[in-house]
Amino acid sequence: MASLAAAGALFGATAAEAGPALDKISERGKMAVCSKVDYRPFGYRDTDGTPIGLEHDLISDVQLRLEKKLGKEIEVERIPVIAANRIQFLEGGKCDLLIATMTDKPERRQTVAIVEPNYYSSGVNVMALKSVKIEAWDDIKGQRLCSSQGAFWNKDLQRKYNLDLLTFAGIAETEQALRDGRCIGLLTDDSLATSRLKDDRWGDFELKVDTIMDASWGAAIQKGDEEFYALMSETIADWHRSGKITELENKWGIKPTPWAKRMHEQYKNM
Amino acid sequence: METIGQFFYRLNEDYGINFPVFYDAWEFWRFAEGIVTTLELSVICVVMSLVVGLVGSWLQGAAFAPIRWLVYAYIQFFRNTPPLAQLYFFYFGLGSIMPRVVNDMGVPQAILGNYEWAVISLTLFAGAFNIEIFRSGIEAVPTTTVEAARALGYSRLKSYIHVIFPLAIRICMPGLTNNLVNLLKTTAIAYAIGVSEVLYVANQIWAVEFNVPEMMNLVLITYLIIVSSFVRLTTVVSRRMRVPGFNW
Repeated sequence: MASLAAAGALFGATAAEAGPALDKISERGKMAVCSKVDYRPFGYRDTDGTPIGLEHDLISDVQLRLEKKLGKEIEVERIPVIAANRIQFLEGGKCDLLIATMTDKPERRQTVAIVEPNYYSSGVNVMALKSVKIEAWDDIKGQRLCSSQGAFWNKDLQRKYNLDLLTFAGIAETEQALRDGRCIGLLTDDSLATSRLKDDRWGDFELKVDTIMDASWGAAIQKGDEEFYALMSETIADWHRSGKITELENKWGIKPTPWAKRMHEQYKNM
Repeated sequence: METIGQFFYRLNEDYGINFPVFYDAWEFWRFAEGIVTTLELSVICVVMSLVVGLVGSWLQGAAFAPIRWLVYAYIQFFRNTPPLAQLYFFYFGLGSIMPRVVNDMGVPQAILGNYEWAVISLTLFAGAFNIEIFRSGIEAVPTTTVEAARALGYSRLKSYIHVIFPLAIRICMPGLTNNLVNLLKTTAIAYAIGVSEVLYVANQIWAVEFNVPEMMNLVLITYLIIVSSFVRLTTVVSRRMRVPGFNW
């Protein structure tokens, strides 16, 4: 009898583990989220080591919604990830949810479920000295610009504007090259650049043109969990509806992205 | 040409073996420019490092001691530090404090660019070895021969030009070839400061196409061709310069 009960418990436990994320979270009273701590101001560590940033505020919002839905308090465990391991962490079940500056790409959708709609977006812009005469993208035609090796915009922009691209492996080298006048400007992720420009060191620099080639960022969960997917999808739609993303951009001192404004316009009457 | 392109296009479509430089004209010209840059860099650095070697080995025999110390210090510095570190030192270290000129876009621009620094850095690196190689050749010339030249009324410079050096170069040819081959291969480090030579261009391509193994093979084959052509050339030169019974 006892062994039967034990077997039942064992079976029950197995079934719960294999079940949807919401049951698992409810049972443990804890949600594990893969997040970044190396991408200021989206996810970084406060002076006392606590992870903070725009994405961490979003994660806290997910926590509130889950508590409401499940009718109990939920703890959030933030698991720091980097670009190279985040998908494997989610796929392997180390976390229930991934919000980590990840660009939504078809090949990633094959491995994990990327929640629609996307929650944020960044694109490419030109960072250069305030004194440099660049007012539109056409002004960089045939010029020498710096960029990072492997950036997804390199080839397209090089072809389109016939650029003489100077690229380096690390961010530090590209920045040094820009400061040394090796190039007239730096092709950079606009969200990264905006936060960098807050630093006094970059006081003489600014973003020159309208951001182009927007690539949007998606939250992701494990495949095949429709209930959790629907919850996340509704949550993100609600962020756009309520203007939360723009509000957080202001909070973290990020130049409001046209994309977030557009999403707000699109969702506010839905 | 069209069929070659089609072959490589199909190779990618059907088997996922991706050599865009053979079917995409833009990538082809980009890669071709990379090869030209590597060749240019190689020729300029080989010639200039030989000049450094010649002048340096001559100065090593100078009567004024501080000149000899200077040459010694130069050799020790460049021979005993990694060429990549030297390149970074020149480009980011010295380059940052060099005078600047404002260009027509209004940017205070460093006067020496990445290509110029690559030439300087590689020349000085290979030149340091060349001095030592030439010295080994010069020291191998029998003193009796040198004395005979001086006895015939040659000055130090004239005996160096007409007697010592022609014999020395024949002795040090194998060592010299080794060092220059090494120099050709080392031009690849210019990639670290963004000089668009073969490795750099290949890197630009695989960053987009994710075809690292294919591009790596192409890079290695390119270097094999360049280096083996150079070795052939030096073999011909050595043969032409052969003095029967003296060097081999």
